Order: sequence, then C-alpha cells, then structure tokens
Amino acid sequence: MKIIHCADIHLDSGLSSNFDKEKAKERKAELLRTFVRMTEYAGEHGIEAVLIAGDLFDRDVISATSRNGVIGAIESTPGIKYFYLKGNHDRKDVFGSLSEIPKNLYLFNETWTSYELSEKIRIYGLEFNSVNSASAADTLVTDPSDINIVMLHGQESMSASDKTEVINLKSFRNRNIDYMALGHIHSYKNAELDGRGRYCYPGCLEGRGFDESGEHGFVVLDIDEDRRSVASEFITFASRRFINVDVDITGLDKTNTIIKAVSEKTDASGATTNDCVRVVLTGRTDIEAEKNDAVISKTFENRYCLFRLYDESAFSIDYESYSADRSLKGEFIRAVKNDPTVSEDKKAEVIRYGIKALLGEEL
Amino acid sequence: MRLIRCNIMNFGTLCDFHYDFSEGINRIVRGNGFGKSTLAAFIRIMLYGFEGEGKRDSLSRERKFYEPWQGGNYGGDIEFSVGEKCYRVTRTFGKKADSDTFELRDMRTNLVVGDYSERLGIELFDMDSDTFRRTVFVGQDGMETSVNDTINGRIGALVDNTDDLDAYEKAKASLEEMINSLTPRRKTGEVSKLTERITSLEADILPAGELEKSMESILEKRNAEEENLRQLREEKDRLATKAKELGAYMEIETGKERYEKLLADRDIKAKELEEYRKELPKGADINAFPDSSELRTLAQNHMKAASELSGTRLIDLTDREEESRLRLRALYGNDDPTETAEKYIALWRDIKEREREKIGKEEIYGKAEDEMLRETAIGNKYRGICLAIALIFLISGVVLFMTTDPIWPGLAACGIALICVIFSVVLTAPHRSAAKQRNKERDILKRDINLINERISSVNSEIGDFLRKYDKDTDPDMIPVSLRDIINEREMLLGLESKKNRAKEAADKAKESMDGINSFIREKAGYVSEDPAVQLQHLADVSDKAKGVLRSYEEILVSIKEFESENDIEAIRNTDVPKTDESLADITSRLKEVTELEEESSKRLSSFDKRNDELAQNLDEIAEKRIERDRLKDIRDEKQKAYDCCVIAKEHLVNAKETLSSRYIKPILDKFMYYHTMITGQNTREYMVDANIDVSVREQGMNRSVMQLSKGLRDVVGLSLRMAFIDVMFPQEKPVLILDDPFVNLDRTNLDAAEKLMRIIAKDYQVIFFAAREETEQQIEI
Repeated sequence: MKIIHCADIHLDSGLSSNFDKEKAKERKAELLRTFVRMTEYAGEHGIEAVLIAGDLFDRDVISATSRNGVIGAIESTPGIKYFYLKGNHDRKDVFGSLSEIPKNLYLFNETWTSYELSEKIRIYGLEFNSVNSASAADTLVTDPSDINIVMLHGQESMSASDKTEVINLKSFRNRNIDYMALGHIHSYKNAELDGRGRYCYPGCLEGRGFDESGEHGFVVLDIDEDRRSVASEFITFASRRFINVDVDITGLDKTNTIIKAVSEKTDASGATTNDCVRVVLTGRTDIEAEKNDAVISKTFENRYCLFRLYDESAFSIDYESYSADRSLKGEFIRAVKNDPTVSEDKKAEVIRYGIKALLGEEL
Repeated sequence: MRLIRCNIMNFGTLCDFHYDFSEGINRIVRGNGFGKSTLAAFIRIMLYGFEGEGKRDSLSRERKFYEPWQGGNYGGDIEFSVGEKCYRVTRTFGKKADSDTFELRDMRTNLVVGDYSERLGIELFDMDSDTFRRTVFVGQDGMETSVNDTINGRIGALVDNTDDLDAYEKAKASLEEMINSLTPRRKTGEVSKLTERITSLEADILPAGELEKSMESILEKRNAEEENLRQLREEKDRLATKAKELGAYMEIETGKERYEKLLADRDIKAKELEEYRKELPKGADINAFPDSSELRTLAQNHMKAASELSGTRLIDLTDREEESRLRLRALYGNDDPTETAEKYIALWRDIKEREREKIGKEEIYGKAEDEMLRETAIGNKYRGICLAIALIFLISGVVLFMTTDPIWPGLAACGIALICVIFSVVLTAPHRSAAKQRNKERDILKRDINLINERISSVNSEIGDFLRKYDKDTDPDMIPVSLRDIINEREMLLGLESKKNRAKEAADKAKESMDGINSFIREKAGYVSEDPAVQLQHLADVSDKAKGVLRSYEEILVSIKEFESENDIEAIRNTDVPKTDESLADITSRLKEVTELEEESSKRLSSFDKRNDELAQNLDEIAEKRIERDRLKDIRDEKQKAYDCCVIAKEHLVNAKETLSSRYIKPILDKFMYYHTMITGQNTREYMVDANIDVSVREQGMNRSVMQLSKGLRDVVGLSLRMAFIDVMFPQEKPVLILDDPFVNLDRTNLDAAEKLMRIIAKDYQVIFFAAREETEQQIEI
C-alpha cells in the first residue's frame, strides 16, 4: 500500500515579507495549486491514503478559495482516504461550518483516535493541547501485530518539555510505532525512532521564504503488509525553490568583478529563472574598492523569479599603510582612527565616505 | 623664468609695439590710455590665453575686448628664458579659438619646438590662470588675494600628495550635500522623511491589538455558535431519527387503514355492480356490453332515421302531381316522343324556310313574266316603226323610180327601205332574245315553286299525323307549340316519376336503418321499447356506470392483491403503534423549528466568518505595513548610519585639512610678516593666518577681518601675502612679477616702503611694473 505523508502546507500564508502584493497573491495561489497537484499525483500513482500532519492552513480564519480548493481536491479523489490532523496554525475546527464533511476525509481530536486503513495498518493521531501533550505517549495504546502509523504535529525533542507543541521522541520509543508521520518542522528529516520505527518530518510542501530554502515536497510510504516493512521516499514537488547563496567578495575591488563572482555562485547553486534567490555578500573589501549594490541587484533582478541582495561585507583598512602618509587622506584616516568616540566598525564606514568624497565618487 | 622681449603686432590699443625687458625692475610709466593694462594683459594672455571665452558680454570676453580697433588678426610674440633655454612664443588670435595659432621656437636654433604647448602658463608655473592672478599678476582690480586649492597644494609642499588637498573643497561640499540630503534635522532630509513615514505606518499598525482582540472575541462567539450549531444538528439528527421510527409505525398504520379501506371499497363496488347488472340482460358481460358512446350514437342514428322516414312524405308527389303523372303515363305510355318532336320542330322550321323561299321565287317569277312581256312589246314597237318607214321609202322609191328619171332617187329610196328592214331586224333581235330568256327563267321558277309546295304539303301531313297521335292541335300555326308541349309533358312525366322514386328510396333506407337498430336493441336488451332512442340512451347510461364501477372494482381487487403480496397482512393486523410523549406531528414541528434554528445559526456562523475574513484582511494589511515599517526602519537606520558617518567624515576631513595646513601656516605667516614689516617698517599689529590661509588681524583682543582695515593697508596685506605665497610656491625657478599700477591706494609712507620692497624683490624676481604717476617712477628709481 502506498501512502503520502505531507505537512505544513500553510495555505493562506501572508507571504508579504518577501513578495509584493501581486506576487504574494500569485504565490498564495501556487501553494493551493501545489496541494491540488499532490492530490492529482496521489490519484495517478495508486496512493491509497494521504496523511496531512498539521498546519494545512496558516491561520484560524481561512479564505473560501482555500477551503473550497481543499474540499474540491479531496472530493475529486474519492478513492483516496485523507487523514487530517490539525496543527498549531490550523483553526480548531476548519471544517466545522461545512454542512457535510467529505466522506473520504478523516479527522482527529484531542484524544487518541485510530483508523483502520487495512487489516494490518492502523493510523493513530492526536491533536495537542496544553493538557494532553505531556502524556501523549503514555496514553497511546497500539497492537504490536499491526503496522502502526502515528500522526503528530510538534517540535521534536529528546527531553520532556512543558511546551504544547513539543514531541518527546524518547517517550514514544518502544510503543510499537512503525512510522511517526510528523509535522511542524519545515525541512525534510527522516531518522530512527527506535529499533522498530522511524520518525519523519516531510517539511513544508512549498517554501515560503528564504528561511525555507532548498527542496520541498512530500514523503511516499510504500508498505509491504506481508513483510511488515515501511519504506519511504522523499518526492521533490515544490513549484519553485528559495535558494540562499553566500558570496565572499574579499579582495574584489570593482562592481563588475563582484557581479562576476555572484554570477558564478548563483550558477553553481543550480538556480533557475523559476527560483527565488537571495545573495549575501560576505568578506571584506578594501576601503577604496568600488562597489555599487544597486548595480549588482539590477543585474540579477530579472534573472530569477525573486532576487534579494544582502550586503553583509565589511571594509578592510590597513591603518599602518597610512601611518606615514602626509596627504590629506592620510591625515583624515589617522584622525578617524584616533577618534575614541567612533566604534571600530563605524570607522571603516566613515573612512570610506571620506575617501569616496575625496575621490569625487558618488556617495 | 624671465621675459626678454615682446613684440605686439596688434592687440587692443597697441599696434606694432616692441619692448625689451631687462632683469630686475622694468618700469613702464605711461599716461592714461597708453595701454599699460593692455600690455600686462597681453603678457598674461600670451601665457594663458583668453579668459571669459564663453561670455557674451564683450567687456568680460577678453577675445572681443582686445580685438584691435582697426580689425584683422591680432597677436604677437614674447621671448623668454627658462633656465638656460630661450624661447619665442608667437600667438595670433582670430574671431574664434579655432582660428588662433600658437608657435614656440627655440631662440638658439630658431626651430619650432614642443617643449611647451598652448597651456604655456600652466606648464611654466604649474598653476592655472586663476592662481596666476592671485599671486604673480597684480591687475588693476586690486592687490588683495586669497588661497585657492592650487595655492593650498603648492604652499603645502610639505605634504606628500596635493591632489586630495586640491579636492578638499569638493569633497567637503559633497559630504555636506550628502549630510543635507540625509539629515534628520530637517523635514526635507531623507532620514526625517523616513521617520515621518514610519510614524505614519506605526499609527496605522496601532489598531492591530484591537483588531486581534476583536478577532479573538469574534472567534469565541464563532466557536460558541459552532457549538450551538453542532448541538442543533445533533438535536435535528435525534428528531429525524425519532420521526423516522414513528414514521415507520405510522406507515404500517397507514397501510392497515388503507387495506381496510380497500376491502370496504371492494364491497361497495360489488353491490353497485349488482344493481347495474339488473338493468342489463341477464348474464350480459359488462365488459363486452357496448360502450355508452356506441349506444348514444345508435340512439342518435335511430332518431335520425325516424326523422328521415317522416320527412319522406314531404318529398313524395302531391295528389295533383300523381294525377298528372297517371294522365301523362296513359298518354305517352312507354313512348319517348321527345326526339321525334324535336325532329319535327326542326322540320317545321325548315318548311317555314321553304315557304319564305317559295314566296321569293314567286315574286321573281312575276317579275320575269313582266320583263318578258315588256321586251316583246319593245321589239314589236321597233319592228313596226322600221317596217313602216321601209314601206314609206319603198313606195317613195317606186314612185320616184317610176316618176323620175334618174332612177337613183328611186333606188335610194328603195335602198333606204331595205336598210330600214334590216334595221328593224337588228333592233328587235335583243329584245326577242331577252324575252325568250325571261320565259325560260319563269319556267324554272314555276317548277321550283311547285316542288316546295309539294314538300310543305307532305311535311304538314306528317306532323299532323304525329300531333294527332298525342291529341295535339294540328293547326299549322300551332304546330311548334304542340310539338313543344309534347316535349314538356314527357319531361314532366319523367320528373314526377323520379321524385316519386326518391321519396320511396329514402323511406326504404330509413326504415331499414331503424329496423337494424331495433334488431341491435332486441339483441342487447331482449326487447324494443316504443321509443328505441330513449331505450338506447338509458342503456348508454347504465353501460357507462356499470363499466366505471366494474373498473373501480377490478382496480380495488388489484390493489388488494398487490398490498397482500407486498405486506404481511397478518403482521399488519397485529401491529399496534407504540405510545409516545411526542406525536409525529410534534416531532415534525420541532424538526422544522430546529432546522430553521440551524439555518439561522449557519447564517450567523457565515457572518462571523465573513467578519473574521474582513478582520484577517485588515490584519494582513497591517502585517504588510509592519513589514514595510520594518523595511523602512532598516533603510532609515542605514541612512542614519550614512548620515552619522558623513557627519563624522566631514568633521575629520576638516580637522585633517586644518592639521595638514598647520604645517605650512607658520612659513606663510613668517614670510607674510617679513614682507609686511618691510613695507610698513613696523611690527605693531598682530596678524593671524588660519588653516585656510585667511589672514586676520588681532586688535583689542579680538580677531578682525582684514576687510575692516583701510584700502591701503589691505593692499599692503595683499602684497605681503602674495609675496609670501610666491616665495613658498616658487622656491627654485622664480616667476616674473607683473604689477599693473599696484600702489595707487598707498600713502606716502607706505608707498616709499613698497618701492623699497620692489627693489629688494627685484634682486630675486624680474618685475614688470606699470604706473601712471611720474613720481612713482622717480621714487622707484631712488
């Protein structure tokens, strides 16, 4: 039997921190479209169940478009069972206002609920609250002869915590769990739980910002009921990626050489026109280097879906080389250097402005 | 550098002017209008070219100003020495710069050399025209001077690189411009603008807390409503289940009632059917019994046939007609004289035509007879006359013949008599022929007339016999009438007999129809009443009702059968509806009520969702503003940082400049004081030179601008400062000093000192000194 495990779709996310209003709107639609595509994938690849391990929606109040899109996708694949466990972003009862919940949608609540997916496969789920999270593992009762899949939404932890969204993995060891379908962490992680089972975060279905960079998608479980084995495979499915590229510009003293370095790094990252790219300039450039961030940004802004340039590089200055310089510049640099009221970081900036002014460059 | 000679071809007021310069002081003392300033300008322009090239004002634009009055090209040459070398520079000037010429020759070889270009002054003195004016060239515009970047750089020979000193003013201005554009102190500054925008955004963001509270409140209400809705749905489900259960019982009860009603209906219909059967012949099959429509049609047909039968009396012959028919039948029997009568009518018409022909012929006959008689009479008349004449002439001839001799008269008369005889024959011959012809025609007509008469007589006889056979008038004049009567009577006979036959046929048909219907009635009802139509109507009514009752009866039987097959009759009979506190009606009513409440609750829930959507949208907008605020804050911080850096950079740049300048302030001040003391002969005033080489005088404990001194003292300060600059700027190759009437503002004491100074200076510098006053020359010469 094949099962999809996904989580953290975060439909109706704001997305305005990286995108302007129009692009944020498009990206919101992309999130929904990717979820619908996943259900189509499920239909086309013989998937029998889809586990949504929390945060299907980003907020308590969801838009009619998202609600209808999700319901429509579920109803249009009636042969697939959907198990939806609410996360910390989901509203308490997203489908409550519906007069009729789709027949193939199975929900959980704040006590352990189990569904028999087949004669040998059981799906368990618990939605955390401030009371049940600490004792979650203790209240879970499973049959060791079954293939037990447990759905939870929270931050993994190896120790007990009083935080609601924390899953104490240690407490779930030796509970006859074959696969823990988790949600909450936005990047893919698959690790051993105990001698029998594994726990897995599929990550979010689509990245929403540069803090969710890399490949995103869902996990397909292939369960051999006779052999009692659960194999999993991560499927890259996001429509576009967020890619962070650090470019060390130490020693580069001209804008065009910096552009060349950025271009080499972004090309090496495999970024395509479909991707969102953030470049962080690092390292130190000479105080007299010619570096124009606006020109660098302009060069790349049409090359990618989204381009952001963060200049975190610093200026380097060799005070020693100016110690005997009896020019105005030398005098100026010494004056700044010897000013105790200016911090060391600021001194380089001050000197750069002064030198640019003396060189007649645009400040 | 030293000037040797100048030759002016044409330049301003000067024309073909030559002057040999000596070492030391060159006094050129001429009256006003000679062209002293023009000569000074010539030397400067030969070194630097014209100034004010872009200006329109002819006074400011030197090219125009020094254009020779007599017109044409102008210019000249200057011979000068630099180190060991001597050169001659020749320049000619046109209307525009591109028509100027420049040539530099080595005086020893007289060859054109490229040691210096058109920028001769800059290359010789390493200073531009402005610096030249501020130092070695004292024009009529005054002795006062100040430093520029070049002087700063040159007098700052103690520093390594003077390029950035040259750029100091621009750098400072650039930083100030940046500081002004960024300043948080003024509304126009970018930092200030950003702060204003951030403040505005923060004001917009402020209601976020309230909105979130509202949203939480609405969410609570929504959740409560959701709970209410859930409870309503549970209640609805409970009621629906109960209604369904009660409905099932009610369905059994209804079925039971229905079954019993079917049985009762069956019995009622069976009784009704029995009653109707009595109306019908015994053993009659109701289903096979004619339909009411058929019976009603038959009743109508019967009534129609009876009506038709009585109607035949109206179309039968009247007694009189019958009498006529019998009379005519007796007269004509089976004969049909119509054809014969019509033939005789035609014959009679022919006879009449013959009679009219006969009358015509008889008239022609009479005329022919008259014609014959008339022609005979005319012939006879002519013959008598001719014969009488012939007789006369014969007698006369005979007489004459006999009496007279010659005989010819007698012969002639006899001849005439003969001619007359011949003439009588000739004249009467046509008349006799015509009479004969008329006679012949008359005979033919007579024969035709006779034939017609015979024919008329024969026909009249034949028609008369025919008429007499049918007892008709045979009078010849009445023949056609009689013949027409026969035809008419024969037609009348046929018409009467036809009418009689039609009446008989109709009566027979109606009777036959009635007999058929009566037979049908007898067959279906067993008897025929006096009024079969009424009997048929009654049967139709009975048939209708009996068939309807029978159909209902059979349907009821089918329903009973179906019900019995579908239901367990025994179980139904034994099932009793359980007693409950709520009747089905109550439950249904309550269900309706709960459904309405559910709808209202759903609407409220939708309303909460809608409001939440609006709030979420507002919060989204606020979130966007928050992001925008943070972004602007970052930008503002960057700008503020840039502003701070620029402020610090400017401050340190100024300090650096001052520090650097301080290294050459003292040499300048020393030189200045040396020259100043030399001119004034005293050192009572305390002068100060700042880092910008601005000279001020300290009096009564305060620094005062030299602008507050008299014009004469300002000139002394200016000359002293110029000499200080020159001394510092030209430590090696000394330039030529050009002074265009510089001491006009000095009093006698200072003038003497200045002249003394000139002599001392002349030891190191070549001095070109222009003056208008004679005493100056004399003084200098002393």
